[in-house]
Amino acid sequence: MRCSQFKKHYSEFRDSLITSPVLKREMEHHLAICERCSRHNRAFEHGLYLIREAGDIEPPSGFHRSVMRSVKLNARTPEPVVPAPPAIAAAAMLAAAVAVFVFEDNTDSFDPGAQPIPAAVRTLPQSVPAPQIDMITLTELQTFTPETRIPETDDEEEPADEQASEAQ
Amino acid sequence: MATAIRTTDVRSKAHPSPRKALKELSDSVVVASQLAGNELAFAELVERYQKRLLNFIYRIIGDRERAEDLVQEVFIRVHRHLHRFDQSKKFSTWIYTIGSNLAKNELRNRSRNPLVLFQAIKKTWEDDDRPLEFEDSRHRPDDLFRKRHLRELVEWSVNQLPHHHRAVFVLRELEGKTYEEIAEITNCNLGTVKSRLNRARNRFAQVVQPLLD
Ligand SMILES: [Zn+2]
Repeated sequence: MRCSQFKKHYSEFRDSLITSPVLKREMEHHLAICERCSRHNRAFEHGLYLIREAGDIEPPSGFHRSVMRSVKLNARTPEPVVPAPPAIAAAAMLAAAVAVFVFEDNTDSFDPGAQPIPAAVRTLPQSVPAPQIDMITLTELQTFTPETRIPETDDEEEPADEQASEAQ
Repeated sequence: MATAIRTTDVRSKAHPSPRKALKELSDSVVVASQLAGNELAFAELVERYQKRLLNFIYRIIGDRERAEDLVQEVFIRVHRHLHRFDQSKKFSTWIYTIGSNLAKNELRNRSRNPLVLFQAIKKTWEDDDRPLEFEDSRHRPDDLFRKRHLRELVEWSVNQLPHHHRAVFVLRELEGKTYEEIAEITNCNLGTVKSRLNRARNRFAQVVQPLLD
């Protein structure tokens, strides 16, 4: 078995999901004899141990109360839908028809002799010195430390073996 | 509904208080109780999931304050849409799905907004400048320092995983979810979950190895 094959089945091996006894034996054998893969496995276990040992973070005091308060503030009270009685509906339709009539009537009442409305006087924009702030360019930001690495998005191209696995 | 338990029903079970009685009920019964109008039931759901969700989201986005905001948002959405929750499913899977989607959106928005990214980095620097507090005097300071340093490095390593691999890794290794639950939470098929988990585990080992050797 090659190291690449070991890594291909590493996760299934860890979760004891390998059903083939032959493959399982090969994985165990490779782990026992390959220094590189055994260091890889040790690093994984040690890293995981440290994360688990670090424990959970605790919600800040009063967090529960604060959650309940924002839940109540954001709770939507569904508005009751009351069907309008026929008389009110008819009155609403009549009001809408009158509104359209008044609007159309107004469009004809243009007075060519009316005084034009003076244009608003606007001053040109002036530049104002900005407060002193430290600037950082996008390029500096992206290359500054490894932490600045922008996470990959879901639309990244899946590598070949991932696609193969998805196709199963 | 047979499973719906109102405050008065709970009180009649010779328990000291309705709130304590709710603690002994399964998620599905508490959800049914909330839907039946018992507001204490929602407080119980918040109690059960606030810490778990905070850790889950924090481990994905790496920003504690923002994680707290997102946990609040999860509960607002749960409260608003609980009537649409399919009660034949597991409530924990549903609430994690909401949390996972919010964390995913957060990372996506952040990757498009250099200012937010810059603020997060600056905050990390400021946090690093804080004096080290020795909570336990039984340990030697240098041991504690080493431990904290290692822990930060390992947390940093998790953040090196692409975010959709990170969610799968955290759900499996730290939340103990099954492959099927992860598939449902992340809206992926089982094959994708397996393959992402394999990539995440190999990548994690690769990143931590030089730090721990
Ligand atoms: Zn090997």
